[in-house]
Amino acid sequence: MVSLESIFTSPDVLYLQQEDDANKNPLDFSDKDDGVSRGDSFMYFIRNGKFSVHVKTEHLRPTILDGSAAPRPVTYLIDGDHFGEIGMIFDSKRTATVQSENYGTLAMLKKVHYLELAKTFDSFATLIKKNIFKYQDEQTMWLQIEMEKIDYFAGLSLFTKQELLAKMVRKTYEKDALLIKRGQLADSLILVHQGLVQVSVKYDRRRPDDLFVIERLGRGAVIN
Amino acid sequence: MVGDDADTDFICLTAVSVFILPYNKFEEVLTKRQDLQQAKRHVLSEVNTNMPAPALDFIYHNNVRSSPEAFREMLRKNSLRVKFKNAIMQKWSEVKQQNLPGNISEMVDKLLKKKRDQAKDSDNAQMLKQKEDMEQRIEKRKQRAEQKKERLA
Repeated sequence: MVSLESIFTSPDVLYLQQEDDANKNPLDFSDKDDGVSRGDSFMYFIRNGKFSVHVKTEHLRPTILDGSAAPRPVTYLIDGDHFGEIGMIFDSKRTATVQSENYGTLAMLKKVHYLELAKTFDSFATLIKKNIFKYQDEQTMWLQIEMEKIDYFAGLSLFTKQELLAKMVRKTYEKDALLIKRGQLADSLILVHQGLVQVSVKYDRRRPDDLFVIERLGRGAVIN
Repeated sequence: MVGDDADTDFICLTAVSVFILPYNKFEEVLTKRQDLQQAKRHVLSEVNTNMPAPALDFIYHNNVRSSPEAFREMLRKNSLRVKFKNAIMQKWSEVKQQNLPGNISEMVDKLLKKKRDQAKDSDNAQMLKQKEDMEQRIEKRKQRAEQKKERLA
């Protein structure tokens, strides 16, 4: 089998664009609402330098208490590592923030070139995709466990599950906000990450403010 | 996710953070992945039976982490709990629908329609009676004509 290193050292590969990165410059933000558009999909390979990976797990409280805007790093990446492939392959939002810890040099691979490489080298796409399953941070693990609870997701291939997870969008709602209104078309699957959701109905039209509480759902509950 | 309307309100009791998989994103994956297409077909075949559509559709949080068996057992218990509450909700919705107070204009319309039907019925009955009378008279005339013929013969 051809290794990733041998593919990128091949003289045919001229796709990688070199980018020098200034110190402490965050590259990707997992929480950005604009995400990465299809045309701009790309990933990075680290030529040299040390980079920290941050996954935001706390969304309800501000993270200014520890003096930094970004959460604690879940891991560090060094020379030869790569990142950003999930967002590029699935055309989804970035799942983590990567920040340089010192002066580093990166190579950027755009999706269009990734696809060309995948056509040229049979094992290239497989090798990149295999790496997606190596991420073991708390949030990724939690999402995987929680999605297993849905019967019809349980039998799916790992790659399909991973793509579904990558397509999920994180949202925050204020207290007393209506997550789903009675009569509204159920057009999404919702996984409660933090907070409490109350399922209730009005039981007497003469007392519109009184609600009959059916259930209170917490972290890990799935609303289909 | 199967195009059903929500039967209840879901209100945030506290500030809530959620992960959402919108149906359009789900469809994007669906077009590419056969295993997901098969899973969807399986779900649709289960939903499209004669059973009424579920009133509640959620899966409880399961924070049991002591062992995989305990986790699965809690999943089973939770699914039974949802089924039970679902049955109650469906019955309740049915009773509420039956006891729904009518709209006045609808009631007036119904009454007028009933009256019109009755009037129509009475008109029809009168016409039938006239027809029967006419037939009886024709029959009697025929009989008399036959009797006259017999006497003359």
